[in-house]
Amino acid sequence: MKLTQHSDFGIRILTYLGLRPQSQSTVGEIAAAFDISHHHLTKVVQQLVGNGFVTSRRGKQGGLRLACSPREIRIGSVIRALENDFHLVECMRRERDCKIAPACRFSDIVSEANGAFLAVLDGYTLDDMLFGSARRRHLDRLLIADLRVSEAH
Amino acid sequence: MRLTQYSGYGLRALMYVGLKGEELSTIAEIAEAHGISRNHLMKVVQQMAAEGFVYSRRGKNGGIRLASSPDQLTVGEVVRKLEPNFGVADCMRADRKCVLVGVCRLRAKLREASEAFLRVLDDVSLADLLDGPAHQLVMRELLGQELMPGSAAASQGTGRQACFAGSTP
Repeated sequence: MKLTQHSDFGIRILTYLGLRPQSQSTVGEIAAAFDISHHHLTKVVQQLVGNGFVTSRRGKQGGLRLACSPREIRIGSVIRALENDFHLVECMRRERDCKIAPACRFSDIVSEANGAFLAVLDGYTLDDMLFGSARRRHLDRLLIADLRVSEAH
Repeated sequence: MRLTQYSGYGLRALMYVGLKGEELSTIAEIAEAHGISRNHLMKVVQQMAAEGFVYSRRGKNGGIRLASSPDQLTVGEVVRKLEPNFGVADCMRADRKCVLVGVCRLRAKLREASEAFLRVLDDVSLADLLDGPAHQLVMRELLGQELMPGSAAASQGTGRQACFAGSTP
């Protein structure tokens, strides 16, 4: 049981944008800051834009920004949006994958458990992840330091 | 967020042996009934034997059965043991470590959310998954288990009695 890389990257993007409310950021810049795949990040960004968490402006002065305040972005809704092909257990992926699927009660129980999981994350916003100006500075320093290292290579 | 194939196979094996009662089942038989890899199943069964979820007997007439009655085994307990990395994200993996990992608050929230997830499973026993004679008949049919006289479904019981009543040791 773990969060997929897709939602992990989604939270990282939102964290990055949340730290830079005044500026437009690029995918390249975020990929460099976290040292992760540009290609994969592009896909996640598209989905975040599609779900209204992020706005994307084209052109020379363009870039990415949060579509609303970090206080309005619930972590639960981000996870829900990014894991929309939610098959919680292997056997739920394809009905025929598990022979007892037509009678099995386990998938209902897992769905209920998943509801409890998301309800906890609904109680937190992006702002809770960033809260406090000292914390913001600390996060910012970590990202920028890393950016410099990756540019030097 | 999803459960691994590993714990999925573990639960399928437990449901299979839970339906068979005291009669021993072989890995090959369970793998065939579920149409899953024997090797993968073997690994999870070994762990379940070590955890004390199943009793395993070696040799020609060997096999496995539940170590206790199905109402004593909760799904939460099984998932906790079979999913050691429960509630983590890729950001904690050494090779994909996030630069923010030391200060990020997401991990604590994920742990809290995972606990809420597991608490739901703690309230469900293996017996709950198998409960009801009609339900057992359907499950057995889907798994191709033959209905032996005196076996779980034939005895029309539920819970503990369902799995152990009438079978000869």
